[in-house]
Amino acid sequence: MKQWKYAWGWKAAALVMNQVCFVAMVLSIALCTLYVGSGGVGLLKQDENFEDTEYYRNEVREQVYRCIRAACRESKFENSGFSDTEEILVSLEDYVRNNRILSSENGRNGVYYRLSDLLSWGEQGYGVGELLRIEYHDGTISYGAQGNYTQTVVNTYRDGNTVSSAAISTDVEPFSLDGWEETGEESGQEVSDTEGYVNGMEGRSYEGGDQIEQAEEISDEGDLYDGLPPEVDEYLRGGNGSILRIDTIEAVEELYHPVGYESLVGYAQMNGLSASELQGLYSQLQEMIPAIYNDYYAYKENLELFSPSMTNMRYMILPEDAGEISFRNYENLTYTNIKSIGEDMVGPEKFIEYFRSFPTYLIYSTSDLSFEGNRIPLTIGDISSYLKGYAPSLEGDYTFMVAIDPAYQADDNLRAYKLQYDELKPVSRLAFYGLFLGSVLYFLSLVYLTLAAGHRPMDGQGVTHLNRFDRIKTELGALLVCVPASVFVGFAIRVIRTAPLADLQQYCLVGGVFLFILNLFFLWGYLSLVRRVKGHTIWSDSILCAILRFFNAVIASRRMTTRAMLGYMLFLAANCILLCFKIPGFMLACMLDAVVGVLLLRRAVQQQMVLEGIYRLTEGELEYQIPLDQVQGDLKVFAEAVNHVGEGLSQAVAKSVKDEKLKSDLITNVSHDIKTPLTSIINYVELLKREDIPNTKVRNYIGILEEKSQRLKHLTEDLVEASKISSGNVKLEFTRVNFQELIQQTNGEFYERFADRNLQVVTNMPEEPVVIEADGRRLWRIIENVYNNVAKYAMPGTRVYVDMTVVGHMVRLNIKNISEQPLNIEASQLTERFIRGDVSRSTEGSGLGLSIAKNLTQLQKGSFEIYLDGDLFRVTVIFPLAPEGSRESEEVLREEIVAEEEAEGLLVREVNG
Amino acid sequence: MNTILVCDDDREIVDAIEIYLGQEGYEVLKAYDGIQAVEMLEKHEVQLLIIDIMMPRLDGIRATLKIRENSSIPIIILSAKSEDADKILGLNIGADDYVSKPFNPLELVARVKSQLRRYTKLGTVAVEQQNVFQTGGLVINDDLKEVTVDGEPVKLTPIEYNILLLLVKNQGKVFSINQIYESIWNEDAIGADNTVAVHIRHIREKIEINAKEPRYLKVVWGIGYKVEKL
Repeated sequence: MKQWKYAWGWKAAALVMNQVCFVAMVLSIALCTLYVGSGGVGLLKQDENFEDTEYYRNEVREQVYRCIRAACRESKFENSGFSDTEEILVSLEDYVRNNRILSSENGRNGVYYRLSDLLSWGEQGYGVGELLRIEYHDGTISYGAQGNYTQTVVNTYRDGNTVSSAAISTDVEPFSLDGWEETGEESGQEVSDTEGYVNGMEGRSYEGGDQIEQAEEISDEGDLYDGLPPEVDEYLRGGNGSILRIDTIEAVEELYHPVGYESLVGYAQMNGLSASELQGLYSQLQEMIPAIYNDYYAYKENLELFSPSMTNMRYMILPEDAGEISFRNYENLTYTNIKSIGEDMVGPEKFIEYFRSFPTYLIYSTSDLSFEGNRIPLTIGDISSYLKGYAPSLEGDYTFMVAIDPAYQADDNLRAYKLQYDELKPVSRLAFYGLFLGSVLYFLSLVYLTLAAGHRPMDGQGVTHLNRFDRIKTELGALLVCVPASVFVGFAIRVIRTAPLADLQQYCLVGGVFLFILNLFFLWGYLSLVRRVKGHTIWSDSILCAILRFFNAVIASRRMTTRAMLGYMLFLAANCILLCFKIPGFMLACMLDAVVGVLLLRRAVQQQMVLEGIYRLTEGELEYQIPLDQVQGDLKVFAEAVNHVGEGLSQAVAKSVKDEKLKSDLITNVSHDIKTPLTSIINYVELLKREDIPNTKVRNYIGILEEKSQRLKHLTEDLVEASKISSGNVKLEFTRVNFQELIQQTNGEFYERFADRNLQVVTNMPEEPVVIEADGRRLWRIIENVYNNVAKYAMPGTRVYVDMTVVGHMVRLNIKNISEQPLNIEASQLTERFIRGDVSRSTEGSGLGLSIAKNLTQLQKGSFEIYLDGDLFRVTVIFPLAPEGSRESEEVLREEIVAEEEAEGLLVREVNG
Repeated sequence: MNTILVCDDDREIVDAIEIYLGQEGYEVLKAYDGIQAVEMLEKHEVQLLIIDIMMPRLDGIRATLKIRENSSIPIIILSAKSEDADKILGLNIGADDYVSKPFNPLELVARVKSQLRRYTKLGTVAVEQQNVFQTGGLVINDDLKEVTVDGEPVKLTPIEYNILLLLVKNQGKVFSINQIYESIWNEDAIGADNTVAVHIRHIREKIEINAKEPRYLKVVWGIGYKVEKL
């Protein structure tokens, strides 16, 4: 039957659809991801604008913050409209403490630097060194570099002796820079400039009463004066000129001097600063130089960044007290990046109006804390706290305004995102539907292809076709697909990254082609895999499977010993390798050994179970089954085989028992039917005999009839008995019987018959009773049959030996006679039913007697054997003695008999020879 | 004149038995199934019944049971079933004797005679005298040293007579060969000797109808001999 669902047309269509849908699906996923990534929230909201996107809001918020920072910097440096850095003076203290630059010279105090000096200082970097501040008892203070301390002190002493001690002008020797620690980035280059550095210090005396007590501290530092000339030392230790204290100050190498002073030291001397105060100034200076440098260039950068050509952000900080301002001078009053608002003369309201005209704007006034804005993702709290944190330099009230120019002419982030957004937006809806439809159709076609793979329209059920590729080994096939595919993916990624692709369309085109090819690879590999699974060749055709099969074959073809040896060697090798790894290896080895030990024990247990099963089977317990669920591996195969043997035997035995029973029943029924006519025959033959028939021939015939009818009678009777006994269909009544007495009784019964044939019975029996467990009447039947046999077939005039001996737990009865006819027959055949010695066929008897005797003996747990040697005919009957006879002694007895027979055989041969 | 009813579905057997019994002077009635036999018994005065087991309409066992409801005449079962179980069943339901086919006609006649003698003479005359020992039809008069079986005198040798007397005096008791030997010869039994066994066999042949299936002197194989208490 042709199955249309597997037609080529359908498959080709599905293949094409799968390819197209895959490309559409993946491209749609990419586009949707891009769109969502660019801030597009609702894929299907076509009325959404760029300004509604999350990205826009984030960018605006960030821009506002940056704008605030930029404006604050601007206000720092453009205060009161100064733009020349020469003119701007920076207060050291004010900058460090308040982050401000005061431009006004009015009321200034403290230390000031020119901004231009600071900037070039910051550019050059600065050095740091230790400066000694020496305070004398007479109040004079001198400064000197630590490196040549002794020289400083000596100089100071000389100066003190030549110049009035009240007005020491510290003419310090030029510092050597040995002791100076270079800091700052470019200070190394400046060494030559600072060679002639002179600390312009002005001596200054003052009454250091409060420092007197510190003199003792200094005098303790004895080593301070080591190496000084004696007169200097003396001078220092006594008199008014001696040193009160010396302080070490971490000083900045002063490349530039403060406004109005030679140096900071000069400032300190002029203003009588203490050591710690001077140290504070130096620290502030160290802090300020890099800070203001960074500040200034950040400001410059901001000016650049926030120029109208660089950003679409517009801002303005409009002072409240600006009053009517013309656009010409607004730059002096405000901080802004607006160059023109189209009108020349405007007031603050005009500016506010201007900002309001943008779709996105923010206007915040510090005077009345009014806040208005549109599409601004900020609250009044955000703005005010940010302004407070960043703009402490702004004094008085002002209005802060921000807006976004919707033309997006400046090339900033907003413009870039706006462009991307505008590009993606029109295709986003298409991409969404493409994703939905494409994925559904893709998976549907993939499912169809999976189901149809390997089937052809003309096939019946369950046929799978494999093409040439599917017959390649599984791993090789996987490599053939995966390697080119991964090479291709690498190539595609490089192309997309490096190729000069202009717009989205080109990207989509190139990407689509690549995806198409990639899906071809996938389908090729996937469908082959599906066919392999359907054809059940994925495992059987794999290289791994082939290797495993090879090893299995190698192992299976080994003998048991080799296999065991191999396993043991592996085990030993594993142990040795593990033991090389010290303690963890040792522990692993212990674990391995324990596991192997447990496995061996388990196997031993299972072996025992199998053995038990076999033993029970040999004991005759044919129904016993080895529990298969408790046996594993090859032992399970053993166990199953043993169970099968058991089952087979059990069935065979049951069948044979049933057959015997059927046979016995049949024989019994047939014999009943024979007996009735036989009765008539016997009766009428008897009547015939009574008739007075003169013809001797007829009388002869009648005699034959009588004889044969009697034989027929015996035959039927024996037949029934034999079949019953051999089918086990008799009930035995066991009692304790004196075997010896029974033989005497039998002898009595057969006395006349033996005497008729001139047979002399020689009986040898123990005198004491020989008691066995038997059914007396059946036992009699055994002996009677044997005696009958003797009476029939023994050669007349010979002796019949009846010997009874007790051996261990057994009693043995030997009956020997000489056969009248040669016995050209196997001994075992004599006990087979209906088989008798050739000659005896002509005489009376059924031929069942010995068979019945043997079966009856076995039913009574005895053994019955016939031994023939020439004309010697011997029957051996063995019974266990009551109350108990054991198996072993019977075995012993049998062995003895065998030995005896051999001895007799030898004797006979000797006699014959 | 005794009338005997013979019942068997095999007419030839019935005819043969009629001939044998007729020669002995018995009047024979013939029936061919159980129902006929029961009817004949109601119509005629019959002294003995010989009946087969396997017959159409009513088998011998059921017929015997029915007859035994209101009659005590001797019944001899004649059957092809020769198993012990069959014999025991037959004797238990009230038959007096059991003869299995094929039978020796002379033996059957002997058994018929024996049953009739007991039924007509001994069954009615219970002799209770001293020194007279009896079991079934076997009577030993020790005063006269005379043994009769069903009224017929039997000739025994003195040893045979003593052995039988010992066994009959102790009816049901089993005597081993040695015990018999010691009590008859008054000396210890020495070795294996089949004297006693041979004597026993001779006695059996004299007093039993069928020596192989003795009624009175039975062999307990491997144990000894006993006379059944009847």
